[in-house]
Amino acid sequence: MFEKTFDIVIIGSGAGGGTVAKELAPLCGEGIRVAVLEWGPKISDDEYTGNEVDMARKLFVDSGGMLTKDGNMTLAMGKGYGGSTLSYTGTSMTVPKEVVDRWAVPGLTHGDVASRAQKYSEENNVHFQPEELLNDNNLLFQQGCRTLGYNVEQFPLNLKGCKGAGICNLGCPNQAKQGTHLVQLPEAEKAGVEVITNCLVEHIGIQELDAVVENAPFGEPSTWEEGRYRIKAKIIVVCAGAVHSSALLLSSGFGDRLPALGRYLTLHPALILVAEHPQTISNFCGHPKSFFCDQFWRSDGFLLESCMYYPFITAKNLVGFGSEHSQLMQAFQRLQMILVLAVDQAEANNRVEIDGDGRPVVDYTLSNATLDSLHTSMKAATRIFFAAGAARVHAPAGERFFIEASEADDIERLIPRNKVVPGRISITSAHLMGGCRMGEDLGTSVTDSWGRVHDHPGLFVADSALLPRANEINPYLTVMALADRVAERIRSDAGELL
Amino acid sequence: MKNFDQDTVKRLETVTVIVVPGYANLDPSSRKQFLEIIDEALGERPESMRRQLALFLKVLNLAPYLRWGRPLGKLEAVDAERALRWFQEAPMAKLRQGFWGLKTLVFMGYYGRREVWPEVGYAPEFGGLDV
Ligand SMILES: Cc1cc2nc3c(=O)[nH]c(=O)nc-3n(C[C@H](O)[C@H](O)[C@H](O)COP(=O)(O)OP(=O)(O)OC[C@H]3O[C@@H](n4cnc5c(N)ncnc54)[C@H](O)[C@@H]3O)c2cc1C
Repeated sequence: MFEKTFDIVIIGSGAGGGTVAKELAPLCGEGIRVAVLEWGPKISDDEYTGNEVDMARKLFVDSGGMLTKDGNMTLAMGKGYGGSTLSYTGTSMTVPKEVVDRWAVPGLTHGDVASRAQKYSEENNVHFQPEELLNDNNLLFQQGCRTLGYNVEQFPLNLKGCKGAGICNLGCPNQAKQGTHLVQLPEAEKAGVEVITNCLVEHIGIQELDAVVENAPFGEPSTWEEGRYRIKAKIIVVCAGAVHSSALLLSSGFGDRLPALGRYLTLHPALILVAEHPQTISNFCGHPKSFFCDQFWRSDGFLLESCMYYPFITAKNLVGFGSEHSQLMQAFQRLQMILVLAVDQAEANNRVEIDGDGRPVVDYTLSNATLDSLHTSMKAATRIFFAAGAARVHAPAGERFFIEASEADDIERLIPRNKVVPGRISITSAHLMGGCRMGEDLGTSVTDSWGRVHDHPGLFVADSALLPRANEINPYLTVMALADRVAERIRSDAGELL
Repeated sequence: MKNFDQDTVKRLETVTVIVVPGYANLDPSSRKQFLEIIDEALGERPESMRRQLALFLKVLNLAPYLRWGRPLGKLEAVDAERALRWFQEAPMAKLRQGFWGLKTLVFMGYYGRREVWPEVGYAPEFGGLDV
C-alpha cells in the first residue's frame, strides 16, 4: 500500500470537482497541497474517434449502459478527466428563480446561485450561436413551435471554435465545448493542484481515504504508479457525481447517521422522438441543440429540446424493429429529432443504494405523474414535427410505428396513454441530481447549504448530488455555481480545518 | 465469440435478421464485426447477465412452439415478427425488458459499425463544415 498526504483532496473532476479544484488552486500558493483523484483517464485529442461504441466505452461509466434497478431507465454518467463535461452538449442555462424557491434551502438564494452561474458563463465563453450556423433540424424545431404559438428560446452554448462536428455527446473532436477538462482543470494544475487520473476512491474514513490506481486501456496513464493507496487529507470534497458520491459515502458507512443519504434522487427522465421529412435536411452537421420549448414546463412538467443523435442511439430509441425500423434509419438525412426532459419530483424512495461489493444501485421508480408528462410530451412533439412539415412521426407510444401527416388531427387517439409502458420504451437520464441534498434537517438532508456534511467537519460534497430537487433545466451551470459556493466555504474554513 | 457458445450465437443471429433484416445481406467480415461489438459489450457485463441473456434467447427461440408448433427460426417472416412483438408488448416487465436489452445489443452491433454509415446516409464531417 502506497501512502500519500495532502491537505485537501477532491474526488472527481467533472462540473463540480473541476470547479472546486480551480477555486481552491490559489491556496497552493500558500503551501497548501491540493489533489484531485479522478476515476477515469485523460483522453488525448487524437482519441476522439466519433465512433459511438468506442467513445461510449472511453467516456461513460459502464460504457453508458448502466440501468436503474428495475431495468426501466438507462443512466448516462461521464467518467474521465472532465467527468460528464467531456460528453455534455454544452447548453448553459441559469436555473430559474422559482426552482430555487421550490428547493427551499435555508440560506440559499436564487441571487447567489445566479451570480455564480454568471461567473462560469463568462469563464466558459457562453454565447448564442449566430443564426447562419444553425442547421435545419434546429430551425425546424423553432419553426414548428412558432407555428403552434409555443414559446421557444435559443440555448446559450459554451463553445469556442465549434466546427459543427455535431457529436458533442461522443466528446468533441475539435475541443470546442468548454468543459472542466479545458478550462478549470488546466488552470488548477497550472496553479499547483495535482490531478491523478485512473484513480478510483473506494473508501472515505476520518481524514483519510483508500484508492486504487489502475490504468484504463485508453487515455493517458496515471501519473501515479498502479496500486493501492492510503491518502491522508484534512479536507475531503466529494464530487463523484450524484450516484457515485452517494454510493461512496454509503459504502464508507456514513449512511448510519445520515438517513437521507442517497435519497431524493431526480433524473429528468428523457425520451428521444424522431420524425421524417419529405426532403433532405441538414441535421447531423452543426451543433445539435439550439432551441428549447418551455411551453409545458409549468402546466405538464416537461421541456422539449431540439437534438440530434447518431445511428446506434437513434436505433435504440425507436420502439419497434424490422423493416419499418430499418426504413426510418435509412432516412437519416431526412430525420428531425426532439428530446423530452420530464421534471420529476424528489421522492425519498428514489435513491442510490449499494450492492454487496459497494457498487451503486439506482432504485428509481418512474411515477405516474412522470409517465403522464412523457405521454403529453410525445403528443406535443408530434404536433411540432407536423407543424414543421414532417411527413411522418415515430412516437414511442404510437399505436403504429409511423403516424402519417394526414393523421395529424388524430394524435390523441394514435398516441394512447396505455402505451407509455416502462421497459417498452427507451427512457434515459443524463441529468442525475440529488442523493446528498442540501438542507438543515438531518432527516431530509445530508449537507448544509454550503455543502458541509452534517456533523462531519472537513467533509464536503460539491457536485450534482447537492441538488435538493430537480433543476428543471439542463443543470451543469447550477452544479458549477453550487460547487463554487462550497469552495468559498472551504476557503473561509481552511484556517480552522487545516 | 468469447462470451456466447455457438448455439447461442445461432439463436442471436435468428433474432437479429428479424430485428434488422439487413443483417441477412452482410458479408462474413461485417457479421464478424457485428458479433465482436456485441461480444465486447457482453464482456463488460457480469456473468449473471450473460447467462440471463443466453437463457432469454433460448426462450425467444422456443416460445413460438406454443402457438405455431415451430421454433422462431422456422417461422414465416410475418409470424416471426409477430412473435417478437409479443415480447416487446409483454404484460410481464421482465419479458419486455429482456427483449429491450437484446434489441439494444443487436442495434449496437449493427448500427455501431462505422461501415453502416453510408447505408443510412450518416456522413458527419468531424473536422469542419458549412452547415
Ligand atoms: C451525455 C450528457 C449530456 C449532457 N448535456 C448537458 C448540457 O448540455 N447542459 C447541461 O447543463 N448539463 C448537461 N449534462 C449534465 C451535466 O454534465 C452534469 O449535470 C454535470 O456534469 C454533473 O457534474 P458532477 O460534478 O456532479 O458529475 P460529473 O461531471 O459526472 O463528474 C463526476 C466525476 O467523478 C468521477 N468519479 C466517480 N466516482 C469516483 C470515485 N469513486 N473516485 C474517483 N472519481 C470518481 C467520475 O469518473 C466523473 O469524472 C449532460 C450530461 C451527460 C451525461
